[in-house]
Amino acid sequence: MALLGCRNISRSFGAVKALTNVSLSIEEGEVHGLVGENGAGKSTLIKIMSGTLLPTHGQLVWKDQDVILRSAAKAQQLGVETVFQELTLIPDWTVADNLVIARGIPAHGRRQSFARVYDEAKALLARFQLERIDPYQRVVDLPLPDRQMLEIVKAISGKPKLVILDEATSALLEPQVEWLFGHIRALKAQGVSVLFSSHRWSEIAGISDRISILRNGEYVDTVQSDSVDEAKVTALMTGKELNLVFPTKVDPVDDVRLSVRNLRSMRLHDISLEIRRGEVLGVGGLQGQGQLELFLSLFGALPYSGQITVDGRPVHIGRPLDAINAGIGIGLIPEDRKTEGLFLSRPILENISLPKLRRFSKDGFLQLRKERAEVQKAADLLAVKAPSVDVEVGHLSGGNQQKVMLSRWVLAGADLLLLYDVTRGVDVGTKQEIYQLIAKRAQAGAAILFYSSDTSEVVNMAHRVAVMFDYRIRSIVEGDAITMENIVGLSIGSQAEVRYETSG
Amino acid sequence: MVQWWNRMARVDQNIAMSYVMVVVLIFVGALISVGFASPSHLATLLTISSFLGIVAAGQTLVILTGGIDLSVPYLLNASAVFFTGFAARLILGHDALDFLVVLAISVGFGVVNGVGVTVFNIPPLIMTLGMNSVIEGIVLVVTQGTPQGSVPAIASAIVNNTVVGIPIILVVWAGLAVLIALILTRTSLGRYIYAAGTSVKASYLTGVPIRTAFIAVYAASGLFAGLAGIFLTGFSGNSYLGMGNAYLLPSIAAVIIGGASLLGGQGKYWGTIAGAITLTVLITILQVLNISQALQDIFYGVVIFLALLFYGRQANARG
Amino acid sequence: MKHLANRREVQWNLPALISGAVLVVLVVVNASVQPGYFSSFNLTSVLTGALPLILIAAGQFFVILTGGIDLSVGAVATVANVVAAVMMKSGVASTVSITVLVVAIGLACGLLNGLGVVLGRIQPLLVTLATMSIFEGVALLVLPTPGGVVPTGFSTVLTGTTAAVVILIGLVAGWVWFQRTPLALQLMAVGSDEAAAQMNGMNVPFVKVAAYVLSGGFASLCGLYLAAQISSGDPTIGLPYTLLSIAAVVIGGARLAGGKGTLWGVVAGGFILSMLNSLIFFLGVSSYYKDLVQGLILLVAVAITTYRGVRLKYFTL
Repeated sequence: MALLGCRNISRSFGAVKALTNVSLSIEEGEVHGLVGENGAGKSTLIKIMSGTLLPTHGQLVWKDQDVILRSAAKAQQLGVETVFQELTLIPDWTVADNLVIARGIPAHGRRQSFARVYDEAKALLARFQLERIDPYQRVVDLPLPDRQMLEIVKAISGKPKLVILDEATSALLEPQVEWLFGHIRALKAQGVSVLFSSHRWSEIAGISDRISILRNGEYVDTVQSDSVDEAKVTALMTGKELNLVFPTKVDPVDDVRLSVRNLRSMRLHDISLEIRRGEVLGVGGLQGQGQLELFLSLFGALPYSGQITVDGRPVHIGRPLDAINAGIGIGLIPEDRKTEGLFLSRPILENISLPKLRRFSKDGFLQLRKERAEVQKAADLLAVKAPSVDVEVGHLSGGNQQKVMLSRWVLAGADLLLLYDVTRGVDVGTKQEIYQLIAKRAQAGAAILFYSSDTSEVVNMAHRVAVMFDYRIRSIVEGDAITMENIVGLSIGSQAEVRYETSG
Repeated sequence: MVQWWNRMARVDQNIAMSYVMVVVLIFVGALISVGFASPSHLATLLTISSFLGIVAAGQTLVILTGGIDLSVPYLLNASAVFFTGFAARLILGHDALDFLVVLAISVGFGVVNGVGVTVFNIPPLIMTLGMNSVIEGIVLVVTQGTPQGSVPAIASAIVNNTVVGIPIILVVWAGLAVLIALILTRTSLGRYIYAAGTSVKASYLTGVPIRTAFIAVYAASGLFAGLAGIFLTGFSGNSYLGMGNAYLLPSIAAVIIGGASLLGGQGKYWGTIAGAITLTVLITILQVLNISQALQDIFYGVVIFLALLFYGRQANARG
Repeated sequence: MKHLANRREVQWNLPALISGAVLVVLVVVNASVQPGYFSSFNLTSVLTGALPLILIAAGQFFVILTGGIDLSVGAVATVANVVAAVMMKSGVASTVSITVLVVAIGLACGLLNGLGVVLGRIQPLLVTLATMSIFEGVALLVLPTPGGVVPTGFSTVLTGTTAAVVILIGLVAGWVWFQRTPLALQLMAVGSDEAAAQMNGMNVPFVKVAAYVLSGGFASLCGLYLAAQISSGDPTIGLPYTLLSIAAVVIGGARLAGGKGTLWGVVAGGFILSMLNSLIFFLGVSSYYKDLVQGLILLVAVAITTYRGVRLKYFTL
């Protein structure tokens, strides 16, 4: 019997459709794998099933009865426990308190004897072979993998009927994944269902009974895991792409604009790459493999060690101001344009001219007319659609906002552009425009580092693709080897033979 | 008319509304008391408003960056006390020089606020609250509890004399208003202030010199509170301990009534001017009605509360 | 008991322990410069001198624990002080009923703050700044100039050694009991990570309101104690306590951003500030240095906890 089913579930965020008409069901006592590329809608679906998000359309079905899950607490009452990507442990609480009393603690009520909580936590940790974790320790002092494991323990210990694991292994090391799998098998033996999503194919294949595939917010298929192989699932995940028209790639010039040797930052490990003028260097890989850290450290927003050379000149980029100025000429379009890139309540004009105000300053005052003329020129060059440059940026569509960001860096003369997921939340028409604009910038001599959560964009835009895995560059793919299959294969940690040319 | 109103930015709507409020209140005052709206009384009202308006200028700049300055009471008091004290002991022997030295000290206090907030990462609330106590302490130590001295002619002249029939202080205030408007709209610093108040993170990733902007606004708050302190000695004829206390809450209230967002990034000094005049007229009406100091305090709190609720809702509606 | 002796407990409460050590040093310094420091008379005055600050800081502590701030505590204490001075008559009945009334007023003031923060969605700083003005006005209405009188019995009992010791032990023991109640745990959870608290199904608005109510209650206790100390009322008496209460909490090792702290640390913080004052007085330093020193102590204490490397300030992953 189906334990939890989705019937025609859709969810949109404003104009963006995250899920369209998804129907699937999880049987009692099965381990159900959920796969899809970044942005395929996995997280949205999981949020709906765990009660933290309501669907715009469609119905959840629990044991053949329609249910509405208004809150995580409601879902927990039914027996749905979820391990989210954002951790729910209280940082300043002890491990014991987090495990035993965090969930459903009443605002008033009995005093929680420490000895009892401590003993219960100790027993619980022992049941999960985690005796090495001191129940008395504060969660904030624990390393991330331990916190992730505690989150899992907290969810499983609540006697659930369905456990949802949303990328629960992303912070775990190999033996810890084995630990988790042992407990998933134990749950299964007790008739508990598990919904398991992961970026790593080997994990999905190793633990799932059935696998459901999502693509572009739509349900593709559910397959028996022993009837498919990686190639088949990869094909289903990538599928027939939308008929996007990408610009033809023009060969770059030979001058190396940026060269990076042995860059380390946070968890980033030994990154070496170079970008030539006119080149789009794609960055592939699944989310969270170090792409963000790479972009931020190149822009001076994270401390790094290693050597960065710009136009053959070694430089140190201590802060974003350095990256923008001093002849380095780097511009970043960050992950979240609304909070990290733009000033939504300020007009387009101010947003574009901000990094290069000095150019318009004379005797301490801004030359507003000159500023306006040049901003207008940059905005026109990048086809920003707005009645005037005095419109607040917050009133523009996502695509136009990204064009404002691009205009900003064009005006600032930045010809080394770090583009982090520029087309996220942008409609299809504007996406194509942005592709053309990027290609035009490259042909005008700019060097571009291009990451996208949509792998097909990276494949079609980039002259070379650096695929990242586990905070390293796994390989750099060139020429005809840049195909969806190759990039996705390398991204999800395929052990398949690497047949193409690799650099270094 | 309606279309024209709808086309205005929200900030400008708020400012327009606060000026309407000023006119309405003066009308109410005229109904209650004969001569309330006479030119000479209006000039007096504006003169009294100017002290608050000048203090609130600094508060506006700080609030535009998303901060708050709770040290204005003793920034103001220190400059008033030092100004009269210097004049008495003739340390420098020259009014204009005293004037500049006192302002430099005020700016120095402001810079300390700015450094505490940006370099030591102390929340503005705590930094300025602590500085208020520190400056109070300095004033007490220097004066041994009793401010001395006399008010130099320059201060009384600015407050009491007129040019072409307009009190000099109003001319000064208008000049400051134009200066602030120029800084906010026509200089890089102005752009940086709005940017830092809108999003510190985005500012950092756009190469905005955040520290400079923050230190500048706290320094400006020191400068304006200092100026107000000097002018106030001219108005009251002496300096005394606690003379700045009455300006803390009104300086924040004037900014809120003037339509600025307390989260930063939204607002103009023109609005604060209307806010300062509104509050002054209101208080004058209360005084005309013989309302006690106690009720005035309560009244201030309620006005701020209501203004916050009103504008807070709007902010939420904007999402 | 085995848990209390845990090494991690020591590590975790390090800031509070440091303030404990500072306190011991202060006692030694005070004792060495003041003859007869350990006389019972002097010890009583040390205890009672610190109590108003400790009481009001205890209230501030609960608000700071949730990540908020309460600038109205001084004004609430003033209201409590003047109401007691005006209304309290001799006799057990009057004393008890007015004490209850005053505490109820304090709780109500706190409720107003809490509702403003939660329902009005206004920053705690501004809500409590506005209510500060309102409460100060109310205090002036009740008692325009210093005056009034509280019954001698009330004063004698409260300012005696026994009462002071009982109150202090009550605070520390109360905390030892309270810190394991669901409410205390949730106050910490909300200050530690509001979103995570929400995800665990905790009633965040209720917890916040509770913190402000507690703050108002303790502020009123401070006002009552001040009334007992000066035997009368003063409509400006609470003024300096707003800054001092924050300073005592921070010096007591609580985290200004919320989520972490102990009440016994705050008690130590209150003693440190009040003993510094008496030391300044005894060393013959002009009392005019008091505000200067208090402000500097607050700023230095906060700066030590908030200063981090410059680099990651605006951008953390």
